Amino acid sequence: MTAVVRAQGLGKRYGRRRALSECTVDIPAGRVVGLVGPNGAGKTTLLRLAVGQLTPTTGSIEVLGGRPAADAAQLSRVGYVAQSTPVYSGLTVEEHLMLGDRLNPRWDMRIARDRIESAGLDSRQRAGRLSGGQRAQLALALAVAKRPDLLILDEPVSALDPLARREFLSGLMESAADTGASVVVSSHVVGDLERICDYLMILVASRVRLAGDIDELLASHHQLIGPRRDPTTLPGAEVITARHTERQTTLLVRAQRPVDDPAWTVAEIGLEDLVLAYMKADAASLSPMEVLR
Amino acid sequence: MIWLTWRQFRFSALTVFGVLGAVALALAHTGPRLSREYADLRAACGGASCHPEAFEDFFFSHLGVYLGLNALVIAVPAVVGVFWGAPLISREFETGTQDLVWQQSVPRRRWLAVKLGLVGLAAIAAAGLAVAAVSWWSRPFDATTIDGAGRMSPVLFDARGYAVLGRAAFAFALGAAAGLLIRRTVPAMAVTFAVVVAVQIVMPTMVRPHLATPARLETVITANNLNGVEASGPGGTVRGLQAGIGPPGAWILTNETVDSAGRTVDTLPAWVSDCTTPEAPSGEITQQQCLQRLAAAGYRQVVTYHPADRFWPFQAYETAIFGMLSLLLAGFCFLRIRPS
Repeated sequence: MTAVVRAQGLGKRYGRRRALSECTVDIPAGRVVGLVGPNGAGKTTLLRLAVGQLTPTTGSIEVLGGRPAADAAQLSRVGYVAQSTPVYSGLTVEEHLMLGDRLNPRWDMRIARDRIESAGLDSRQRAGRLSGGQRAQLALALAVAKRPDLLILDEPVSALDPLARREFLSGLMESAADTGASVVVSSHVVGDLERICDYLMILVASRVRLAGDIDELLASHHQLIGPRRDPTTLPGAEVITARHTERQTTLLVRAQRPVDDPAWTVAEIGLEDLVLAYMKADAASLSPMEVLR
Repeated sequence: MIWLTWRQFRFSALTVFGVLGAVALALAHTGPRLSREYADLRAACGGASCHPEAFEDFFFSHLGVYLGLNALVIAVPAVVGVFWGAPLISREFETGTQDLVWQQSVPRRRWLAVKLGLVGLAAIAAAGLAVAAVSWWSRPFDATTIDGAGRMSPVLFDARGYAVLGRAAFAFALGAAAGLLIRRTVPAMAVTFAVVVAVQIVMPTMVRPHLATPARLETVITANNLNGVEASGPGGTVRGLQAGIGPPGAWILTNETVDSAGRTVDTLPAWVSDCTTPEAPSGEITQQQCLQRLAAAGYRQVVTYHPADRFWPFQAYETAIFGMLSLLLAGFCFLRIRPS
């Protein structure tokens, strides 16, 4: 599996505050990768390091085999939509497309115009008068029409209402399909990721807690409900979380083969519950020392 | 990149060049008439038939406009620094658009080079236009200006010659660097303005006097060269004398009375107050006696000054100084713009 983003012991510190530490990830190529994690896990820092808006304090990061933002060629291969979906409020939509055209060697005006049209944007309108959803669509059009090999989006829909969010994500999916670019999109709304991503990566406290094909992840995780039992170990399965009431125990386990112990009632688990379980498990398993660090 | 720079800059460019262009047109319209008036005046006075104060009247009748135009030239560097330089980079940070523009296929340093280069050239051009138009229009007044207010004087020096161009480049680069450092437009503008004003004060008071060794002139005080007596309080101590010596158009740095040992005096004897130019002709004898006594006691007047012909060398020095500072500030921007 080739990696579009490969980080080794990557760390970023602002003064004494660590935004990211000891991060080691391999983000696979040719996928639509969802990056989830609690606030402060380092998602934005990781993505900004990947697009070269930041430089690492420690460790290294390689994107498409090169140093992020090293030169014009590297810049042209990566499309980026920042969290705030910035556009120039004084420029019209059309002028943004001209900007993209003049500043990118691989720019495809047809892709840009198609995106603007299907998003229903008026190309004569000033970007400052666009709604949040329209602005995000314009920012996406700019990133996509560069025809990048890798498209990185940092919580692009976090500020959008549900309708605009849906429109943006479908626009993203169309573009990704059209250009064949690898996509990395971070979000804390798992439902959004579930619709568009085929690969999921959970980042907790700078570490990749879980990564894999979403279908495989869902197939290998099960929720077990049965009579109360301690300690909570199970042969052939890894227990992620355990919840007890007076008479009953609920487990989330990861197992390659189905659990066939008749004592348990086995249920499938949704992606959202899976993500939450991993985040919770990590919060619980971190020792006080680690939390302080 | 050039297109984007122009697109983002055109409004502020047109504003400044619009104002300067309008002023230049007005000057082009009124300038020839003033030149003719001045030529007529000279022709008349050549025949010795003119009023003794004709030149002064001519000068003072246009004083307001003259001072206003000089102020305009002095203001141009501050304006381009504050309104073109400071927002150049800080506005991108403020609106978050650095995340957009620095992700296009143009490395940051090339982006910066085009921005600094084009807008910087415009800043220099604006200063050039202002100083050329105002200098041309002001020729009759520069020629008739009162003593001590010539182009070597601290204020007029800043409104003439090509050093204004260097000052504009410096102010612009300073604004850009402040914006890159502070990342917020209004504070960057405020800092730029404060520093430009500070430099405007420091340059003529602390730097320019030392650009060359001042010339020195020592002479006996006579009724012809005595301008005034400095005294503190009515009938109080005489602090020193002011003498009108030194070549015309020179920038007088010091004008002091020294005693027979060559020391600068703080206090002169009380009888020196008799040396003041008398109001009635009857007092002339008293003044003569006083001045003779002053000369006999060994008191002399010393002035240090920069003669008028140092104007262009000093312009060159200051342009070089501001040019160096501009390059340093631009270099700082190139280092600093790297991702942190």
